[in-house]
Amino acid sequence: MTANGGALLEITDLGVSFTTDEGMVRAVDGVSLAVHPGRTLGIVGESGSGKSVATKAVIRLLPANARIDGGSRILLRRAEGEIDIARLPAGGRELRRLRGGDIGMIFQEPMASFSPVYTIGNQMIEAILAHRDHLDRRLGRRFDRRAARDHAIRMLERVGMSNARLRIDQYPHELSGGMRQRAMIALALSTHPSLLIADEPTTALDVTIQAQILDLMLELQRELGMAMLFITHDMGVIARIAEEVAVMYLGRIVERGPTREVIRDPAHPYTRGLLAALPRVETSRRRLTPVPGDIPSPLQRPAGCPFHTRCPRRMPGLCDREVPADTALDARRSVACHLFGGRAS
Amino acid sequence: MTAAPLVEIRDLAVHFGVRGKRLLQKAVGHLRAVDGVTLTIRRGETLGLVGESGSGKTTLGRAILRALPVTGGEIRFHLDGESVDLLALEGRELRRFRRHMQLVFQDPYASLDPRMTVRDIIAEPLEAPGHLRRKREVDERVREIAARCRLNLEFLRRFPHAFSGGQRQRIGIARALVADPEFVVCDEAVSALDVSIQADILNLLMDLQQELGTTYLFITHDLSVVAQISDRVAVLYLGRLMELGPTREIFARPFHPYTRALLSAIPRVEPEHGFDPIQLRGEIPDPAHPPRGCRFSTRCPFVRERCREEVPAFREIAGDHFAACHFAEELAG
Repeated sequence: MTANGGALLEITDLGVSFTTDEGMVRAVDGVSLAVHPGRTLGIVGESGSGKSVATKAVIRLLPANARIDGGSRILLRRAEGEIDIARLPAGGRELRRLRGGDIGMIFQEPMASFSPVYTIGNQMIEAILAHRDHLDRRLGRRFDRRAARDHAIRMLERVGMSNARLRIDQYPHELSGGMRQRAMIALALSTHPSLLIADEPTTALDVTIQAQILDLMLELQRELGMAMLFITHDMGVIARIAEEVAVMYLGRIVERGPTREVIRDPAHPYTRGLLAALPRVETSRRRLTPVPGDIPSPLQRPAGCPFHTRCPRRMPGLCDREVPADTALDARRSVACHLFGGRAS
Repeated sequence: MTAAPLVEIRDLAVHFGVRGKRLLQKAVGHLRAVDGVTLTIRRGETLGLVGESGSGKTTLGRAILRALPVTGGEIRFHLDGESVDLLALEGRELRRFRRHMQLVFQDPYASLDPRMTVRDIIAEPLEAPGHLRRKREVDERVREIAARCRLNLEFLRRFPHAFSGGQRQRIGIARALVADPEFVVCDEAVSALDVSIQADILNLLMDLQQELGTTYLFITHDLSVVAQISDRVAVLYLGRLMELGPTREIFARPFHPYTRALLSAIPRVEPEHGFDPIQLRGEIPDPAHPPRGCRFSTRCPFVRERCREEVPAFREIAGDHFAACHFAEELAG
């Protein structure tokens, strides 16, 4: 993870805390990662892992009680130069231009992207026109209202919507769940973002529809050459969509590497536990191997390694005291675990 | 070899009235949420019930518990050598019968009353007619089932909001099992839980079944979970059974094109499984306007003329393995 020269997005030492009535919640604690052009980084984690918060920080869509650490850096490299998103003024023009322009977003719930009171087409056309300059740079053409409508129809057709010419004038609630998800993808991609952030985009969908949407996303990625940051709790979905995976637990990345290798030969005891706990289609009526204990409350983060309270291989006196540092296993894999020698530097 | 039937369901139908778009408009049609399901649930087994949105799986589960009005058909329970016609029971008789059947919900957060202590939540089903009356007996029974569900007995005096998702689901399971029911419907019982916790709850359900001999109808959209916990699997699509058979058979040799598509769409973690889902055309049809003929005909990759005209019979294709497809043998061959 050293040669990040070509990275489109480079996050260094990201920390996010929330002030709540019950105290301070440290949701993301020192996360560093890089996303490369045209490639997909998957982030997998359970409740409280901070995967969603970390990615919301990238587009600065955090609630008002959240604070990004002063030392965090979120670098986005564009043709016009490099910007640190962590330093952009909240609610400013630059952030607005970034969201839905260079960075597209899709969520589990499509109604988070659409307003219920405007037609799908209206919202797509507004988005295209709002990011006219960005599109000019990416495609070398200037959109007027009519061209924007044609472009929106083409995008809706592209995501497999039949009768796009009619559907474009429908309201979001008139579409089925799968169609709404497609419309949201069309909306996010209509501005040709260089980075797409997808937060559990298929979790609420039926499995046959999920398969269609995943295929569609891979196809569009190839076609448009965009990078993806794909967040999910589902290892199977990660295996399908991401070349590289980062496993998060209680706000930290505990392991990362090429997806196939991490799944075939997980290093961190948490990754091992997570894979062993998965029900498999191949075996029936088998006892499963759960990860012992509960995920600790974010209000009571364990000291030392966040996983030590549940780890079958914890070393008393070390794991409960010192936070393990990221240790390289080879050129592309790393793990944050004392079993692999990771001492905090 | 097969166990005795506990619940026999014949031609079960649950239809809902569909209102028009305008306010106060009279019913304009019927949503056939469950439309002629025939199914036997065997004593001591776990029958997995899978289906996507609109399949009617939750409605079917609730109908078997008489938690919603049934339009037609028959449900028989076989208990202590007697055959009980569930749909004929009314009033006090029905309330007395309810102790034989229970429900475990999906969302342990929503299904527990926040103002009751864990002890009172678990004890609630014992208040139904025909149960323990004395407080000491109730306490003893609650402690016994809580221990079986591996709940810390200290927790009994607390309120549910203090607990994690996994603990809350243990409370929900203890509550369902406290009155020693023969039959439990688990409706997406582990779907809201994290993977590392879900495995623990699935193990608990399997252990309790071994100890208590309970029969489960396990409803879920998650096919890997169903593969793990079920002895047999029933596949529902738009209110009708598409396939039913032993779990291993269903997953190794599915007869119905819908089952095959469903299984091929599971994203697997094993790298040796290439992901090549059978692409189904279009969307799941509106259950208020199901297709004529075979309900799956609008999306089936192997559809032929006959499928659009004639409803396929639900028939035994191989030993104990049923499917509703005109061309099951041919397509499986």
